[in-house]
Amino acid sequence: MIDFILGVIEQGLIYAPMVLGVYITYQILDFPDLSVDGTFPLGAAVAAVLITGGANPLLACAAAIVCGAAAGVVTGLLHVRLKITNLLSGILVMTALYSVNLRIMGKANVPLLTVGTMFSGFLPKVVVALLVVVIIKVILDLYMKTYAGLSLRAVGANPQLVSSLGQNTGRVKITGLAIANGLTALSGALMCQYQRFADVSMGSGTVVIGLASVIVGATVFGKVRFIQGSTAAILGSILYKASIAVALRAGLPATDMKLISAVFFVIIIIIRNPAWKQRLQKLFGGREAA
Amino acid sequence: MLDLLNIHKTYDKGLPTENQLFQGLDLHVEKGDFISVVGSNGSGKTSLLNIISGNIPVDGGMVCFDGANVNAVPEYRRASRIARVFQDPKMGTCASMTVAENMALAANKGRPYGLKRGLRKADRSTFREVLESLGMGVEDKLDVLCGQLSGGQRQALALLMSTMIKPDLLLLDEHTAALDPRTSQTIMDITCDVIKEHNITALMVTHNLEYAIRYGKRLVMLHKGRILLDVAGEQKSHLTIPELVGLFKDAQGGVLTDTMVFG
Repeated sequence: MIDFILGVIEQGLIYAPMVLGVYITYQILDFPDLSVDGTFPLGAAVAAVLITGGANPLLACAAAIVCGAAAGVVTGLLHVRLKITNLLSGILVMTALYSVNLRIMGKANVPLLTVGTMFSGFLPKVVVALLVVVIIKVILDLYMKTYAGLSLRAVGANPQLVSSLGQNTGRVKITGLAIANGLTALSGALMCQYQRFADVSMGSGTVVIGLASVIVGATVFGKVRFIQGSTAAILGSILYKASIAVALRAGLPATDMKLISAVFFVIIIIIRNPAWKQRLQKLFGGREAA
Repeated sequence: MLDLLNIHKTYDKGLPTENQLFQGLDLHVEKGDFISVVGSNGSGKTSLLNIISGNIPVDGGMVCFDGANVNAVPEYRRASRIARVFQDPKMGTCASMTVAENMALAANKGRPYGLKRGLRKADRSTFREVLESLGMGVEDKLDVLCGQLSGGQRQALALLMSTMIKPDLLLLDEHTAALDPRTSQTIMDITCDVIKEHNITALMVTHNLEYAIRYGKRLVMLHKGRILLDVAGEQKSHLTIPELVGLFKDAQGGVLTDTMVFG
């Protein structure tokens, strides 16, 4: 049981940087960025190849972040410069990255069985993951308080204001996408070290996991005082992983994971929808009265 | 300081909804001018401001700032010299950020937004002082999200933010139209104070003929993209609402709907 809970927390934390990335694009920038489905395995591919080549795992993570950020910039440029819709820009980059990831890895799957990773040191896995997430969160929170961070927060809510303030809204959006995809690639790099392999298809469904976690976090923890958006997103990541893990433990086969992810997502949306909420309340209220 | 020369603008070119709005509009704005712009719906008032601010491109003609053509200068680059307050109070502030955070951004308008801490302790007392001068009770709400302010408070804040870095030109786009009469008057008073204090050149689009006559040194009436009336000084001070309404009527071919006057 303890192993089960620990596993859930570890995986929730490993996905947390990606969830923070989706939090930035979806919640702050109002940009549904699908390129994360490609940048997650991109981060894994870069890290796996570098680590098997003898690179320091931390350096490999840094390289993954840079590559992810570059992919985010491409998504941003497609949208801002070529005026391609935000959804399509993400899909294009995600599709292109599939081939790029295969090129980086040279094959569909790179095992990391014999090399040392960030999780093979003397520290417990959960501590390593927690350290990474705390560092990322602190940096991100500090960034959000800078002028650059403030304009990032403003551009999603009121782009007109940001241009009125003399800032190039396109550049602000591209920066946000770079940060988000850099974080997603970091999650990918952590994941491949955790599961000891990188796989070209490990990214499919990333955006669903990310969005669901952000929404779970905002729903459950968003209204609690002293809990910032970023903390809520991290906790949401763990909670969402936990709910999926429970469903799998209840007897569903592991191959159903993506289906469960999608169904859970729909359930969350229904619960959050005020109209449905009322209907549910009426349904249960009615029964009690009867 | 601002010259619009032979401005052409057509919307939906080639579509059934094609609207040739400006066909050679000229407007010269002197430094220190305070111009009220009136006109019926669709007369091109807001398009005029959008063209000046760089929000929409022109099809022909030139927008000149101090003699320099700024046609190719994007909106965000013109913003260091041009400030704008919109009809919708929501447009001038960011709802999901606090009053102080909004002001911090405005206090650094036009400068590159780098990795410097946005809101420092020292700023807060300055912000509080400026807010106090508004007399709208916002000074105690520095850490309140802008989305929670009233429409009047938000508009006052938007006006303040747009002039924290002194602009050369202030564009007011029916900025009191969404407010109740009393708040509307307060915002107008604040507007006049700000314009006088910083000696800002201003263009105020309004549907309120009374404001148009009472405020400003010059009055421009637009109709279907043309300037019908352009009066200043003595001539303007003698204008009356019935006279203006009469002009509207003539322009419309004798038919007057109330939306033209107070819409």
